[in-house]
This record gives sequence, C-alpha cells and structure tokens, in this order.
Amino acid sequence: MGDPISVLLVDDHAMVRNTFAQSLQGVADIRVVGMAGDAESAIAEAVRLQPDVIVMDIDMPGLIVFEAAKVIRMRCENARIVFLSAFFHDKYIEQAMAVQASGYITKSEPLETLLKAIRGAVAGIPHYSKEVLARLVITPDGPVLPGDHRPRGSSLTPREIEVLRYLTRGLAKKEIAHIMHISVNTVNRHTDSMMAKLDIHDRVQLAGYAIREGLAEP
Amino acid sequence: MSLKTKVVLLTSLIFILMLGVTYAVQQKIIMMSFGFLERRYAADDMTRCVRAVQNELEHLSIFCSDWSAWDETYNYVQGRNDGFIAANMMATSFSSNRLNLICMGDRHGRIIWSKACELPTVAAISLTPFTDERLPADSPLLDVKRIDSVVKGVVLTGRGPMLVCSQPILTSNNEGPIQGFMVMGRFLDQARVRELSTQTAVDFTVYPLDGKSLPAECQHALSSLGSGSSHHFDERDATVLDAYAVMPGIDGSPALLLRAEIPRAIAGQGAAAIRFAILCSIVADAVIVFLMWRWLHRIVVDPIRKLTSHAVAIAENSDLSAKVEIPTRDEIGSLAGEFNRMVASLADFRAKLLGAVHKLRATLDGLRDAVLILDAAAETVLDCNPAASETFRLSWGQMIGFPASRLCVNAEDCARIRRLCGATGGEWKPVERLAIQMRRADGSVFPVEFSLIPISDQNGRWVGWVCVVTDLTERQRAESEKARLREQLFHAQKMDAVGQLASSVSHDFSNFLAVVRGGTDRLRRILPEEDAARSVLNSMCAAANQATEVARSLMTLARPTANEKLSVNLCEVIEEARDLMGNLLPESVEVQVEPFVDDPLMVHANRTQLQQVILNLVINARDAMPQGGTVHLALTRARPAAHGEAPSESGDSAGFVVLSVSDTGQGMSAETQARLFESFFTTKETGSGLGLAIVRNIVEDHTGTIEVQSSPGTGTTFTIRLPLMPIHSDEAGAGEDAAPGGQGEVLLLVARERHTREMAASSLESFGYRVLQSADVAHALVLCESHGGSVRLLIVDGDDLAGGGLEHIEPIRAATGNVPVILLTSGENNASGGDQGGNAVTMRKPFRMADLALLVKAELGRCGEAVTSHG
Repeated sequence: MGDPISVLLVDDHAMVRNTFAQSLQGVADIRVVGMAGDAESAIAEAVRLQPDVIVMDIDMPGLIVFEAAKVIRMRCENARIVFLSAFFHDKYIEQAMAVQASGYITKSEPLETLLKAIRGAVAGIPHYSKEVLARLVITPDGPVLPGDHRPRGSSLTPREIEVLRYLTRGLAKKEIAHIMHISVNTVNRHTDSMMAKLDIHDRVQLAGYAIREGLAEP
Repeated sequence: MSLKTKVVLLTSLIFILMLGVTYAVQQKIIMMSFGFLERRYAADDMTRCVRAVQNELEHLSIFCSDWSAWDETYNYVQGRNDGFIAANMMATSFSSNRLNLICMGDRHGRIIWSKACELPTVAAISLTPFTDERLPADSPLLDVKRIDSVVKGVVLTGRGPMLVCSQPILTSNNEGPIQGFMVMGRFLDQARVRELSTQTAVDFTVYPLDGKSLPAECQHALSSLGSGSSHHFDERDATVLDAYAVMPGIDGSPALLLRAEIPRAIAGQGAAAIRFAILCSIVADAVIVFLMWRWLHRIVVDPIRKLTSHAVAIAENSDLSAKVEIPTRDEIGSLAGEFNRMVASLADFRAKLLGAVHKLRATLDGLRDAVLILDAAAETVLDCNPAASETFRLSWGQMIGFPASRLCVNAEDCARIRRLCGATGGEWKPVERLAIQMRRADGSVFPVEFSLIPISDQNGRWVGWVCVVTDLTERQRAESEKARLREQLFHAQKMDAVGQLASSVSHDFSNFLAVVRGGTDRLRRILPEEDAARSVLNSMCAAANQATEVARSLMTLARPTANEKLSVNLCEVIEEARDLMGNLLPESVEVQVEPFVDDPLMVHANRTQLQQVILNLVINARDAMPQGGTVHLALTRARPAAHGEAPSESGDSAGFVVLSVSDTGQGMSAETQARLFESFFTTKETGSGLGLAIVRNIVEDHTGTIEVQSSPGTGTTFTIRLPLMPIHSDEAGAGEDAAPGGQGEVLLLVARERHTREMAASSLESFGYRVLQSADVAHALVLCESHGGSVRLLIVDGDDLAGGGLEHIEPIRAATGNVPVILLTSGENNASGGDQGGNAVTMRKPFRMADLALLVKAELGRCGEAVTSHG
C-alpha cells in the first residue's frame, strides 16, 4: 500500500471542516494534511503543503473559489480539486468543469461519496453525478456541460462575473478591489459595463439578477 | 361669342372702316381738290372774260385818244374848222370803227357835237345825256382837266350798257390848253358779247345792273359778290359750273354782272377717277382683310382652338399625360409650352396627391381604431375604414349610408353628438373623448371612446365629420390583465424574498446537518454493533437525512425564478415535490404516488417551475377536499402515435410524458371548469385565483398541454402532457439492448489531455465500463501488459496522433489482440461513426458521452458477434 492521499480541507465554517477532518481521520488511505477557512488561505496552504487533493467549499466569502482553483492548478500541478457545495447547481458544475476540477459533491451526500470522490480524483476518475456525466459533451477544447440557453449573463466577461459575485455578497467596492488586486475605478468600470449590458440600473437589482441567474448564491 | 366669330366681326369692321376711310378721302379730299381746281380754272376763265371787256375799253380809249388829240378836232372845237364834221364824222366812221357814240363838248360841258347811232345801220338815235345840250355837271366824263386824263368805263343807257371813253381835246402834239372833251361809246350788246365769248373761248353772258329784274341765280350771285368776293361760283348741275363777276360802272358803282358757263370736265374726270379708285380700294381692302382673316386664323384662332380642345379633353378625360403640340415661337407657342408644363406639374401634383391619399387611406385602413366619415348633420355614414367594419360587424357596403344613430345605444349620446355637430362652422374646439356605449350589427353593446373632428370646406363651413371610435373592450381587458400581472409580480416578489430567505437558511442548515451527519457517521463507526445507543444514533441519522432533504427541497424551491430550462428527470421532480408536500397537507389528506414504470423521464424544463406546477395542483386538490381524501399522482410515458401527436421538428418523435393529479374531492361544475384557468378566478374564500393560471402558463411555456376532467361529486383529474427530450428516445426506442450501459468491460482510453481523458473515463465508468487511462502509447502498452487480454476496446484521441494515422497505435492493437478501435477526432473529413478500416471507427468531436457509450456498446456487440461466428 502506498502513501495515503494527502487532503487539504477548505471551508469557512470551522465546525464543518472539523467534522470532515474527524470523519476522514479514521480512513486509512486518506490523511488530512491541512485546513483553510477561505480561498486566499487555501492557495497559500496548497502551495505550502502540495496536497494530492483539495476539498473546497464553493460558498465561501472572499476570493471566488473558482478563481482560487485556477491559481492552485497553476501552482500545484499535481493537486486535484474536489468542490463541495450545499446543493447541485448546473452553473457551479459548469464552472467546476471549466477549472478542470476532479469532482463536485454536496455536503448532504454520505461520507462514502466524499471518499469516493477523493479516491477517484487521485485515480483519474473525476466524481460528478451520473446525470452530469451522461450529459457530458466532449469538444475539441475539452469536456463541457451543454446549457440549453445562453442567458443575458453570457455577455458578461469572466472578470465582470467575478465582480458581480462579490457585489452580490454585499462586499464594498473597496473590498472587492482589494481582493481582486485592482483599483476601485476598475471595479466601477466593470459595474457600469455590467449595468449597461444587462440594462440594470442599481446594485440591488444587479444582485437580484445574479441570484436569479445562479451566478451567485444569495 | 366665339373667337372665330369675333375675328370675322373684327375683320369685317376693319374692311368697312377701310372702305369708309377710302371713300371719305376720295370724296372729301381728292374730290374737293378737283372742285378747287375746277373753280380756279373757272376763275381764270372769268378773269379772261372781264379782261376781254376791259381790253375792249382799252381799244376804245386808244381810238378815242387818236381823235381827241388831233389838231383838226382841236380846231373844230375852237370853231375854226367847220368842215371837220363833214369830213370826218361820216357814217363809215361809225360803222367801220363800230362806234355807237361820238360826242364832243367844250370845257364847260356843253356839247358841241354829238351823234349816237345803231349799227350797222348807223341810224341816229337819241341817247341821253349824250344827245342833250350838255352833260350833267357831275358827270365823271367831264373829269378830264389834265392833259393825260382818261375816263373810261361802262355806262348804263336806256339802250343797254355801253363802253365809253372820255379824253381831253388836245393838239396833235398832246398839248393844250384843253379845249373840251371827246367821248366815244360802243354798245356792249349780245353780238359783241358773243364775239368776246368766241375770243375768250368762254361762253359768258352780261347782265346790266340797272335795277331791272335779274334771274334768281344771278340775284344770289350778286348778293354773294357784294360781300367782297371777286368771283362767285354756282354748280348748276354735274356738267356746268356758273361763274359770276361784277364790273363797275364809270361812276364806280356795279354796272355789269358777267356770268360764264364753265363745262365741268375736271370734276367729271375726277369723279370717274374716284369711282375707279374706290373700286380698286374695295378689291384691295377685301384681299387684305381676307388675308388678315386667314392669318389671324392660322396664328391665333387655330392654336387657341387647339389649346382649348386640349384643355377640354383633359377636363373630360382627366388624362394629364397628353401634350398639346404648337410648334411656334410666339406667345401662343410659349403659352402652349407653359400649359404643357402646368399640366405636367398638375400631373406631378396629382400623383403626389394620390400618393398622399393612398398613404392616408393606408394609414386609415391600418388604424386599429374605427374611423367613420359622417355627413354634415352627423346622421349618415359616408365612409369608413376596415377597422370600423370589423368593429361594427358590418361590411363596408353596409356601413355606407348606415344611420349613425343606430350605432349609438343611448338616445342621450345621440342627442349630445347632434348638439356638438349642430354648429355650422367656425373654430372647432376639440371635444374631450366621449366615453359612450355603441352597438354592433349583431346587437352586442361595447364601450368606446368617441371623438369628433370637423371637415371644413374652403369657406370654413363644416361639411362632414371624422369620428374616431376606439373600442375599449380590449383596453379594459388589458387593464384587468395588467392588474392581474401586477398582483402576480407582487406575489412573485414576495415569493422571491421568501425564497432568498429559505435559500440562506437552507445553506446554513446544510452546513449544520453536515456536521451532525459527520458526527453520527463517526459515532456509528466507533460504537460497537451491540451498543444500545446505536438505535438512537440510527434515529438521529435518519432525522438528519430527512432534514437534509427538507433543506434541499427548500433550496430547490428558492432557486431562480428565471426561466432556465435544462434536462430534468420528472420522476425526481415528483419525488422532490413530495417531500415538500408534507408541510402543506393536513394529515387527513393522503398522497399516493404511483410507482414509476419508466425512470428517468427526461423533459426539457425548469425544475422549480415544474415543482410549482405539482405543488399548486396538490394544493388545489387539498382545498377541494376539506374533509380529507387522497391525492393520486401518476407519471406515464405516451408514444406520439398513441396520441396522434405530430413528431417534433427535429424528427425525434420522443413521445410525451403524462402527469396526472387526481383528487377525491367535491368536483367542479362545467361553468367552473370553463373559467378554471382564468386569472383571479377562484371559488375559495381566501384564494388568489392565480394558482391554476400559473400552472397553465408554466405548462404552455414548456410546450405542453393541460386538461381537466371533473364533475360534481366525482373528484377532479388534471392531466398534463409534456414532450420528452429526444436524447432519451434513442435509448428508449431501441429497448433495453440499446441502452448505453456496460457490464464492466475493460476499455483502454488513450488521450494526452488529462482533464478530457479523465472526464471521458469517468463518464464511461458511470455507464458501467471499467476504463484504463493512458496519456501516451508507451504507457498504454504497459497497461496492456499488466491487464493481459482483458482490454475489450481501444478508444484513442486521434488529435494526439501526429498525422492522425492508425499506425501509431498499431503496437497497442497488437498488444490487445486487435480489439476494435474508436478514434476520437476533430478532423472534418471523417464522419462520425465512420469506418476507418482495420476494425476502427471514428467519432467526431464534439460528441455526447451518451453517444460514445452507445457506440462502445455497439462495437463491443459487433466484435462479440464476430468472435462467436468465428468460433
């Protein structure tokens, strides 16, 4: 038997990540090497610990987890990422697939599912629901989950969507600028551009739109 | 009067005027000139006659001078020559010299010798005063006191006028002293006058003015001459002109009236010439006037008539395209050109006007409001647009002439409109749109807004009315719909807020439950099997699981209201909805879900909306069963042929899924069923009347149908039919054998791109295969070696092969015993599923993993058959 799979747990709720850590404690082939409470810490810990698998909650404050996943993938080539969320959302699944995540499971699923996902990630068998895998389409650019329509949000750039998510969480523009390492003016520019594209004229409506379209969690 | 007639009259007038002028000139100027010439010649003749008489006197004077200035005579008078008389005063002296009188006297007037006689007889006659003793002392004949004195003239005697001459008696040397006077006389009788006429070639007559009667014409001439004229002329007739002159007597008073009869040759010749000239003028004038008439016709009358005919033709035919051709360069030619231009402008204007009219007509026809044109009294419809016909359900022909009052419902409205239209003109004050009731041809009454605009003529008088009638039925309906939508929006916003709250709560719940579940899982692993606490733990696990499901259902309900449709398994939706129903239904209501014969049943739908449909129907069933009952849900698949449905556009006749929701409630009447899906229609005291309306909207938005079967006392069944997704029809249509699922067959997947490879592998594993993954050929060979001959099929990403040739994977094929190969490629040349030869087929990207799984199954099956047949 080889080395156990090193796992980095990322969740903003300490209670949740401790529970998962405890649950995984008794699993022989899995070892929790570290934990992080937000996406920024997750990047730092991943770089430091170089885990085999990073189990990351999607619904965390601060840096958008998908952006963090991109950074981690660049800095830790061998690390596989399994996303954890309260529920299934096609939008999230699409984005998880876009950042080449090795799995997407919900917190309500039994521990076995998590174990299966962690092991599958290492074995090169990404864990997604059966329905998702059946709908999967292989394109020359990689696997995608086909949507049936392109909503208004499809006109938004990835950067704008990122800003939108932070806005929806109620972050101040200054905070967003700090997290994204951009100026407040740039945040304003992204905001204005989104409002123009979506024909929406205040922040509250913008946040409502993001929630309705599933671009952000309420 | 026509122009032609006027020209004829004008030319005739000119002709008459020319004739008149010619005649007047001939008569008044030329003929008068001839008269003047005639009188001048007549005056000359008259003068010649007078001169002839005067010459006669002169001759007599010369002869008298010969005798008075003669010594013989001189001596005789002195008494010294007695034989003088005998020797000289012989009869021959009188006759040869045609003397009728010789008288000699002394210086005192006493007559010495005198003799008067008649010729040619020379018989002595008495002739007072020459035969008296002496001459009267005042006789002018005695006025010869000087040597050169000569007195001569006419003396009227009792025997007729006589030419006399008195000279002093002198010596032969014309010396004096003067011894007396010598008078000689000669009668101017008819014979002498004739001689003078012959001499002068003028036939004239002498009348002595001795107070005796004169002819009347002479009296007139004498009076005219007495006024100072030297001559008087009298046109006796066309051939003779009488000329008169007066000769004075010796005492200076008029003594003789000479009348010459002058033949009127000049006047006659002149008159003939004038007649000829007038004749010539008439002919010339006639020719000129005719030519003028022709010329006027040609240059004025004909072009004007042509222009007039053209104008009349345009007026009659309204053909503005015709042109009049008058190729002259004068004013009429210009007029024709301008006329043509004017007509062209008119044509252009008419075209524009027609265009404008057509636009107006099209606008009128395109209006949704009914537009009526009424007469001045607003009593009869004169015209209308199609919307009016449609609104009043009358054809255009029926509308024309239709009494406006029959369109109104209330007599007061009619009277009001009539009052508004009662004025005859002036400034129209726009009337507010009248809200009245009108009646259609079928008798139905509908609300309208009615406005009036007057049509004015050139004088500002109102000659008709434009009535715009707006049917308010739709507007009122739209307003109620708007109110409904507003209510719906309000409801949706409320639900949105509730949903957001639910979402937030369910997130937190999810986290808490994850902790609980983690804890219970761990406890279960720790506690020995026989521990009594395990049952408590199991209960906690079950409760946590249930709580998780509730949280998930809450989250699903709170999910976006946006109409995002994905492939959804309707069986799952019903299960999710069922979880939520528990909170909505009282215990007296039981929910029965018929076991699903087909699972999954995939539809292209919005999961949340489908849940809402199911929940709304269940709530409706609950409300229909206040005493409790059973709600029965069933989900079945229906083939299109069975329902007579046409295949979908894609040709994938996938069929339909039929969802039925039945209750055992009180049922509905036919009237209620008819209005069941109307917004705000409710039979409940607290119902919003939106539930079933929303259900219908959602079902229709999913291209489905909803039907209701119910009757009072027998319960109600709602049947919803939704189209199945075509993707599953392939699987279902082909039966179980065509399902993409595997039986754990080992596949070798060779692809360099990790994520693609892993996702494809994961998907294939989910379809029941076992997948060996390799990034390159070398590793694949290692895998082949380690797994022996278990590899049943090779899947290769053709894009990784340089040049795309199968020779690169030949070692693998050899190592696997030449198993079938599926080549995944982005190439354009290879058709999907095309046979590459050598037991290889291609699958062109992009492709669905489900299709790849089907192809894998097919290839495995084909290979198996080949092996069997070979065996």
